Amino acid sequence: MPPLWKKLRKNPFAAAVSSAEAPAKISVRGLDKSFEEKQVLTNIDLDIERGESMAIVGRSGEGKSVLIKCILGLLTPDRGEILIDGHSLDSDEGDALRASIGIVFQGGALFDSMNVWQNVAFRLLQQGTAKRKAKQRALQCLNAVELPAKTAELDPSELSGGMRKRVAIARTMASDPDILFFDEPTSGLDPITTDLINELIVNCTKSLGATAVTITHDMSSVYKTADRAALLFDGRLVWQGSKRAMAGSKDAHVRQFVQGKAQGPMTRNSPQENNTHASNTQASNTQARQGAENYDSASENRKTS
Amino acid sequence: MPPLSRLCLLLLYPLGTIGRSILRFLETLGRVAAFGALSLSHLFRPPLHLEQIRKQIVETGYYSLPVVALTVTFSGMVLVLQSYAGFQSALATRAIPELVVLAITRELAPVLSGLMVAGRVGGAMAAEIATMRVSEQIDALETLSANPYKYLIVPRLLAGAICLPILVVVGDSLGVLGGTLIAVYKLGFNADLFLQYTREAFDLTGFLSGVCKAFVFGTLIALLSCYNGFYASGGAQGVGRATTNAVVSSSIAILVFNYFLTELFFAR
Repeated sequence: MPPLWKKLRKNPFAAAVSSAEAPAKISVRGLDKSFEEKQVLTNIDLDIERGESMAIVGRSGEGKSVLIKCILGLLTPDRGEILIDGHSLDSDEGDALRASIGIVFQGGALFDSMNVWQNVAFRLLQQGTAKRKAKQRALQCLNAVELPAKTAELDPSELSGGMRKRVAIARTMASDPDILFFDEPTSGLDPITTDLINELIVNCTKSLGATAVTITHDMSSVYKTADRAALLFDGRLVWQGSKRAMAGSKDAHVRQFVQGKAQGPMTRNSPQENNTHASNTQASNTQARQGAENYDSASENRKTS
Repeated sequence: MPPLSRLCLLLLYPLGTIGRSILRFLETLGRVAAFGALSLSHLFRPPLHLEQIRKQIVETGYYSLPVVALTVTFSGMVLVLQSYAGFQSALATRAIPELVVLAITRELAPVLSGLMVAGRVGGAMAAEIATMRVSEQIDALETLSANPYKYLIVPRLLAGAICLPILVVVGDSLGVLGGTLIAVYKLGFNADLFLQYTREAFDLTGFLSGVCKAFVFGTLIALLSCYNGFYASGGAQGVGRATTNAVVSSSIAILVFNYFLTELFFAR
């Protein structure tokens, strides 16, 4: 609770005015991204409000992960603008913005060379937090994701898939981020663990008061974790709306995706469909390479600035 | 198409292939140079991850010691045996200690140690970084506000540059020791005389040239291994490819640079 003098100094209308005028937490405008000849994202416009939980859904290989990597600055878009709190990641506020973002990668992306608690406390240790304090925070976060304290000393290779995801969530929570990204958090998990992870996502987002973006193709995750959803197809956002609107949507793409049918507008171009896998593999290889190159140029820019 | 044009095309095709290969090679060379320059720039900007540097020095130096020691010791022993067979007939066995010292300090210890470290450490570095790349751990590093160059590349470059010269100094001693043991206990040389000739033959410039070579080789191994790992793509196959490329390119670079460094130090 802020002290009384702080309350009195506050303009009672300021909050209302600032929230009305405040820019979206994440704003994407006219985003295009291609890998060599393959156009992965085309003219993406997306606004995610603060405190909102947004699910981006779509079939595998539609560019969902590429979209969040562009938002995170891990890939450079060909065209378009990405603003977080009204600022670009390349601006002077870039480092502070990056520090306010947490991401749970698809496979967890835990560092093999460290044990669990060191993974969870990684950012804190990098920031110079004392080892004992960092470990204490790591244990709190592990407890929050319902992992026993003895897990802290294990190596990532000793964990199951579900445990790895939970540790990844704990690692994200450890630095109290404002924005949380979850990349396919339930892929490859059994239904019970899936539900557990979905609950953790909801609890984690609520407890941190964060804005959440979840990439998934699992509708149960959408219904459980998201306020709104957007459907990505053929590199475009073909539909956006609340999860309730999604469930009752008459849009043919949404209906096919929600009902999980093989026949429909999302699978109409069968020859292209056959080529999708090969071109996606090529695209993901190029993506990894561009990720490294992008980091080179980004760090060069930061160095220059 | 007229036959003349077809003939021209046929003749130009191999030239085109050669040209493309040369361009690709030059492009890779440029990318490695840019990668090296960027890594080097991070070396002089704080913070340095001292714990990572310590780990890499232990991994590169300490754990490579047995391999390098065995390789250079046995090479020194073989050198004495082979040179004895040749020099005995020419009544020039006095030259054996000189040959052993010069060959080991100038060439055998730096090159063999470099090749061993390229196989053992270079492959491991490339595989580890490539695995981190394909499993998104490098992306995770970046999103956790850790600079991958500072955290992954700089410690390995430092470890390579520091450890290989030390390994070569140890290798020099063990190589000469191995040769001496064979000369004294197997070939019947007088121990005092052999050691005296060895001391007389010791050449500080040659020794330092070997240490300088080791510094260059260590840096090259780390640079090429990190480069191949950092730009890996394509899952398990990509990791395998990066590892192979790291070992092959490091080994070739060692042999090529060895020639140029020898020319630099000893050509008149």
